[in-house]
Amino acid sequence: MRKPWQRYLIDVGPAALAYFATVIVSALVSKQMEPGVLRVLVAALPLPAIVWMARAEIVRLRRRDELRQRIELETMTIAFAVSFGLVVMLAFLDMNGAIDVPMSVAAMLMAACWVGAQVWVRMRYRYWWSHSESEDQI
Amino acid sequence: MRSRLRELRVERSWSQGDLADQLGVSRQTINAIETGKYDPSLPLAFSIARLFGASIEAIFDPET
Repeated sequence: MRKPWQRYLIDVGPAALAYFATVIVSALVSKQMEPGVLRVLVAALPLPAIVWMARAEIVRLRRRDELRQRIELETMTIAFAVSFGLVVMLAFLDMNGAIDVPMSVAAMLMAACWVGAQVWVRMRYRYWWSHSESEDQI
Repeated sequence: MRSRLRELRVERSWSQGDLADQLGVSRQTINAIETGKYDPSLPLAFSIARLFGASIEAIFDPET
């Protein structure tokens, strides 16, 4: 049986590679272009790869057993709710001049909320990362 | 939700892993059901009932 990281590479690897490649190409090429529709299209180059990655993750999630699916869905729900609230709060504070927050903070905040939610939900179900993924494939 | 899953499993000298394999779920799922942390889906509840030759109501009892 394949190791968990090998399985992950097969499932999500091609989509992730496509994403990184298109981000790099898009960033490098769009910088050299004049503002306009074409530049926007080049900047949006990673979008199909993002859709591909999302689909790969969903397919992977559907192969999990039901408890693992519950864990991932609870994590996403909590992480989205908390990060959305925090980002909106920061946006209001920024608009009112109370703080100066770059947009990149939103992405980091979302990632941090996801990690926090993962830890909290896994603690609740006692489902640690050390648990072998090979056991929860259906 | 309370269940007699652990009791029924132990009667048959099955480990959580054995039971999980027979039901097609992870050992962690069995553990979570036995400790009341997780309620099984309806298909899984039916599979459990079928495996032990009992009704769902005889195995699972919603807490009052």
